[in-house]
Amino acid sequence: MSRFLAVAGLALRELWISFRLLFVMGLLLLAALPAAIVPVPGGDPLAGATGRIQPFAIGLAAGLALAAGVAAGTISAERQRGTAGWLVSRAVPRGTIVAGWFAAFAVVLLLGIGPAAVLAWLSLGPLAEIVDPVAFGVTVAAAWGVGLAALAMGLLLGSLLGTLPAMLLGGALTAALLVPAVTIGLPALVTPPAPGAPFAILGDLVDAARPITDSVRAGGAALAASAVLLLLASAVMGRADL
Amino acid sequence: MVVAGLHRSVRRRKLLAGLDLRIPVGARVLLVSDPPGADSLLLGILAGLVRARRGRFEVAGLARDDDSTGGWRRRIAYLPPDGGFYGWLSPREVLELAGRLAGYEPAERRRRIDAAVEQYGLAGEMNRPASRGGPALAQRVGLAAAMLGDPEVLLLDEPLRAVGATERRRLLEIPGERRTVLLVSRYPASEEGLVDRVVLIRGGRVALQARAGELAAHGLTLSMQGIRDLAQRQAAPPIAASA
Repeated sequence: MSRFLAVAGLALRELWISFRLLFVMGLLLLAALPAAIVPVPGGDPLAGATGRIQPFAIGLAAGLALAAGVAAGTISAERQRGTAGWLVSRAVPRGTIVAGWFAAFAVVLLLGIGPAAVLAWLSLGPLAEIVDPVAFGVTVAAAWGVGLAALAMGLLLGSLLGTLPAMLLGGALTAALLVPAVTIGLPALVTPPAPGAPFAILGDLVDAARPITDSVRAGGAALAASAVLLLLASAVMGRADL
Repeated sequence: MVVAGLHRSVRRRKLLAGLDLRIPVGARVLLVSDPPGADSLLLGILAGLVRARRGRFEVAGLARDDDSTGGWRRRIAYLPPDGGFYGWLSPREVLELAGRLAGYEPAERRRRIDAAVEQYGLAGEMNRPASRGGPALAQRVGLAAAMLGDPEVLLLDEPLRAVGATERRRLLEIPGERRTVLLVSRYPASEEGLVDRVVLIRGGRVALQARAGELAAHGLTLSMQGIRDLAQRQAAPPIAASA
């Protein structure tokens, strides 16, 4: 446990010192900005609420895609510049390094998504009366769960590839899975437990039939996928040259 | 230290092709390769950072790389050329972390860190980021962290290159009669007096394993050319006496 905490602490400090923590948090906060500043035509309050939440859902999906790319590039760079090797040569298991970085990025996502969701909610103003706050909270939490799966995928790619390819592929794959869920609404991407479901639900929260149930299903599936991807990342890291 | 039949390629270049090597306890070995690359790769494999495709090795009497703080890893220390740790860590943090990861209790950790600070002349540099002290400080801190656990085997890859020659020599005179030191260097002449054996890897195999004194006995110096010449003389068949 202490080795895990040591790695997670180092990872958080590295993210802070290299400005990647602020970058990822800033991206996620930016996701809420359109919801706050884009003017929504008056008249139908349902359309007004959707007009404010949908850009937030798209921004959140894009922000998570970039976060996954950053995670992929980070773990790949850790391998290549020898800092992971320094820890491994001090009896830190390779799986612990993956888990420590995952925990650090999970905290960063939480620090970014939490305030972004609060900002998006506050930007609803009087329209907040027609949006179920519990459904909003649960859907955002499910989106965080999907973000964890995206991080785990990023760590898997980073354990396998060079820094730039890992970063680009991690970001592109996540974006391809999440952004079209809100913008196009492809059934394969939005039907729970597909990873795009929370974003599609969030984008259409006012009209969603079962937002809480569907979000919980998608979030649970994303957490299970995170666990599988983390195990794979640890196995790949176990065979990587450091 | 026993290495048997080690194979490994890097970017389709076969750097180790069935390498066999046996190094006795307490030896101070200069490891060079021609062309360079295989020596550092072998060190990485022995340190458990790089996987060999085939073959086996035993370090400090153990064949299995385990992660227990009391086991394999604590008995072996590896020092990469640049120290290997985050440059923003201060020397105090690096040594604290190394001690904590090695599993030492706080009192024992403090005792070892105090001794390392004195031995490696870090007293005035303990609280600022190691990178601000330049590569020489980072390399000294790296060696101090590697020695903190009193390892049985020390694997040094181009150590302390940024440190002045006299200071470097002092720091690399590693104490401990039963401590085995394997040192990779592109500049063998700078290791004069620090090693008692020389190993040359060529074509993925050991082309020469000799005592350092044999170079002088053949009128050769401890240099890349001297090592090559000795390998050539030992490989050549003896000249038949003419009638």
